[in-house]
Amino acid sequence: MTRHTRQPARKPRPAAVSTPATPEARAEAALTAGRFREAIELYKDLLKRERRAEWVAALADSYAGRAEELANKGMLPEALVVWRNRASLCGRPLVEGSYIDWLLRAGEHAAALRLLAEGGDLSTAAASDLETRLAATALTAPESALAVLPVDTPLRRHRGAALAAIAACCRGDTVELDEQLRAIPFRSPYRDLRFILKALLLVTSDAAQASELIDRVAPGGPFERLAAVVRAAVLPGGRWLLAMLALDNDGRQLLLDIKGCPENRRTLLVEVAELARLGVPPTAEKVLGLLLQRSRGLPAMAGHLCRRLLPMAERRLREYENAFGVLADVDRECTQALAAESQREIATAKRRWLRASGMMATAGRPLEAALILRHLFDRVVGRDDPADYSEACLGWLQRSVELDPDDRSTHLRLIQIHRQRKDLKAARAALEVAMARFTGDPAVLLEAVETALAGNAFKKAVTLAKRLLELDPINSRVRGLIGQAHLSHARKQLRLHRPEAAGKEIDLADGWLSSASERSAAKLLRGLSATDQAATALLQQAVAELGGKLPAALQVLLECARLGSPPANVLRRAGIDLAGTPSSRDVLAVVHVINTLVAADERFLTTAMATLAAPLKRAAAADFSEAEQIAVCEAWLRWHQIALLRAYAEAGLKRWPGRPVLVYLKTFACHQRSAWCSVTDGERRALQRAAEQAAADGDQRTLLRIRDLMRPPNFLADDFDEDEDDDDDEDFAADEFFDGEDFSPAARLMLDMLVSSGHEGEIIRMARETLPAGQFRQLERAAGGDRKKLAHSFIDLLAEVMGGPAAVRPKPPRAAPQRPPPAPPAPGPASAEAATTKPTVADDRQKGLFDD
Amino acid sequence: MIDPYRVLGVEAGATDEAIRAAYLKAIRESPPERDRQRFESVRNAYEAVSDHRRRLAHGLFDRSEPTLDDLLAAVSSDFAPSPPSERRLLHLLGAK
Repeated sequence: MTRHTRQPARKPRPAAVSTPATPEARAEAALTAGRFREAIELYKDLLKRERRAEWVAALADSYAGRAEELANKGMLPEALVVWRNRASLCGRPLVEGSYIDWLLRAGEHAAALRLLAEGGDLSTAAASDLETRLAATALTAPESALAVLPVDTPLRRHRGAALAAIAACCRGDTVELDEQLRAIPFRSPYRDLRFILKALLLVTSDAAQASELIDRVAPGGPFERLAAVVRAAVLPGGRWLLAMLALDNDGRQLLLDIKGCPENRRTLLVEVAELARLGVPPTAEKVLGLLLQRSRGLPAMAGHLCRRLLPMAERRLREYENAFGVLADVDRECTQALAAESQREIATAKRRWLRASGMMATAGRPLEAALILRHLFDRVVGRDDPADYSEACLGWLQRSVELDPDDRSTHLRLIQIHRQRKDLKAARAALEVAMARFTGDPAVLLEAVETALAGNAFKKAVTLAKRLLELDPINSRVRGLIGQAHLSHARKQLRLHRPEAAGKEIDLADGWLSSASERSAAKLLRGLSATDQAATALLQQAVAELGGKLPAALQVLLECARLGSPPANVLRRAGIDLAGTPSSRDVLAVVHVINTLVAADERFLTTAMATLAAPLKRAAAADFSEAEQIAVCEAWLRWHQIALLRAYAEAGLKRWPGRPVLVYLKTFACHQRSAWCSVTDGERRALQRAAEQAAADGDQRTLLRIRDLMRPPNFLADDFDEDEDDDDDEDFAADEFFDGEDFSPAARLMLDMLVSSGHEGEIIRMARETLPAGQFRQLERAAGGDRKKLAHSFIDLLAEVMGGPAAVRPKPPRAAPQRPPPAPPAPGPASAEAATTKPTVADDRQKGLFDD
Repeated sequence: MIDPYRVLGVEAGATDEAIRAAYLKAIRESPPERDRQRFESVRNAYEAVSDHRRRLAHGLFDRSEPTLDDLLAAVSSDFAPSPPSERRLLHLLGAK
């Protein structure tokens, strides 16, 4: 690095000043250069020689400049002296320029009034202007000071009315104020008071009108200090606080008087105003600090605000109780539950919420108790799959309905959850309760229809749907549901070999189906209901309507799966040939159909795909665009068609090498949930590059997916959240354990504690779910039937793979991650001993040993 | 946190009807084309406290950050506005 040596600053060369030869030229040069003192002396000397008019004018200018100079420095008395010299020596009028301003600023009101009284050299306009400017002075000056003014001057004539108006205003006497203000004419020096005093009285009752009135007062008038206060007072919301800061102390006090602020709270108000000046919302901590420090005499609303903010600054609980009284037990629980939520201490929050809910339920506050349980359900369950909900969580929702039976939305939610969990018995029970409570409610009836359909009670579903249609005749969804119910019933009849009954159901369905595809599906079913020529013709007609080839084949195969009939004959009758390579268009049409299926269709899709997988796989390298290729892969992923996903992702990577999402999809297809411990070095590097590329592209979704794929599953979170008996673990959130990628000593300790407390089944479950089957079997063999040992082996493996402080080996560097060892860690001494003392057991006999 | 009751100009114990009336009045005064921000805040306030359940839930679970208006309202809720004293007013105008 080169060090620059600083050049010494070059001093500006003084401009060549040539001394003017004559005194006149020197005086002129001094005046032009702003050297007023020198100019005054030079011109005074010149005028001693000869009284020339231009020199007198120049002397006057020099005096004016000098006086201005002094006034700007705040030396007002000196400026006034210079100005008076100017008037006497140069014959200029005294009342000119800034003289009156300086007089008033210097507090020489009496002199100003005398000036007005003498009025000798004042023009009418200047006299009027001076009168106006002296209005506030005249109003507040002692009577004796006004004696210098002529009796008929407006300042004296209207002064009484102005003072009386002020007195009326301060008494709040509107009538008297109006009367007194009428006595002040429009041209009076006190005219501004007419608007200011009226506005002041209206500030609290009609701020808008007050604002209009005060807007008529020009800034800088004789009563500006009062006008500024009123202008601040009429500002909406909290803006007056900022305006208050611009006032002097007298103005602030008057403003706070107008606002009705008690004397003992004025300092606090100024502090609040200072906070407002920062322009950012105050933090809860700051607000609590401010209010709790000065809590004496604060209104109840301040207490309520503090109470609300307590969860955000729980450590101030004691201060709060000192200031505003002790919290009731239930309020304390609620506060601490919210505080725990803020800190993501879910277990603590759950415990406290449950306690609060119990207290409220017994204290005759069932609604609040129910709300807490629903809140807890939402917080704990979040967006989990209903299949994963624990009984405890469902119990909260159930209890909330008992406590608050009029909450229809929770009834509906409970029914839906039971149905999604395929617990139709519970769904029907919940439905019964809801139907009894909300008789004839369309939303409840719709749930009844859906529940009947889910239980294959098609006739009941149709009956309920028709009742619903009576209430809501244009509900197209219900009409569609009735059609689908008839079709489902027709399938049931076909499975029972009752083609005539099935035909009747299809006839009934036709009356309700509105879209062409639905009618084609009905026709397809009709074609499948018999094997004669007419049925075959219908089948072929339906196949043509459904797009022929692959998309129609999928529909036919799905129907075959639903009916439980072998597809080969049907495909032959339908004239569908699956040989050859389908086009990209066919594949996209199939994906479109698949994407319209519901979760309940998954098993039928799996059956159908057994036939379709081969032709679809042949089309993996068809002419897709990049977006289409990815969309098709996503569909396979969504419907667990892993072989197809792998084929399409690999084909995609050949055309678009290194595309992050395709890299992710391919790796997922190859390894699925065990990817974190089973990818090869090459795959790991490819994923790393894909993650970097995704980050560079701003593709956060792919980035997160890659991270999730490579992270061991966080199996503890759900269980801890939902576990009822977790008092020992209340201060731990599962997130803390797997917060980073390291395997912390706390996590290890926790897992070891689980094993020692007899919960090794959880660890084994995780091992089984996350490890490749072969690797899990290896661990099983090494454990030799000892469940605890198996659990510890898995924990060792976790620690080794994840690294971190609890790991046996240091974590591999992030930039070039190393593949975790494919083989399980060597068994510890105990297991080694077990391996030597116990005879080796055949794999088949060990299989399933640890099934829970 | 912007206190919904304050936004709507009703007491904390107001009934559903009173709250709805206040909401409709506020919306009429500040339609979205005139004052979008105020309209949004009125609507949010109404959604937070429009019925008894929501009011209870708001009281139990509201955890939004405070605003300056909340603070000002808390410290000034018992202010009793009144005309100033004559002495203070004249003093401001220059009386000794």
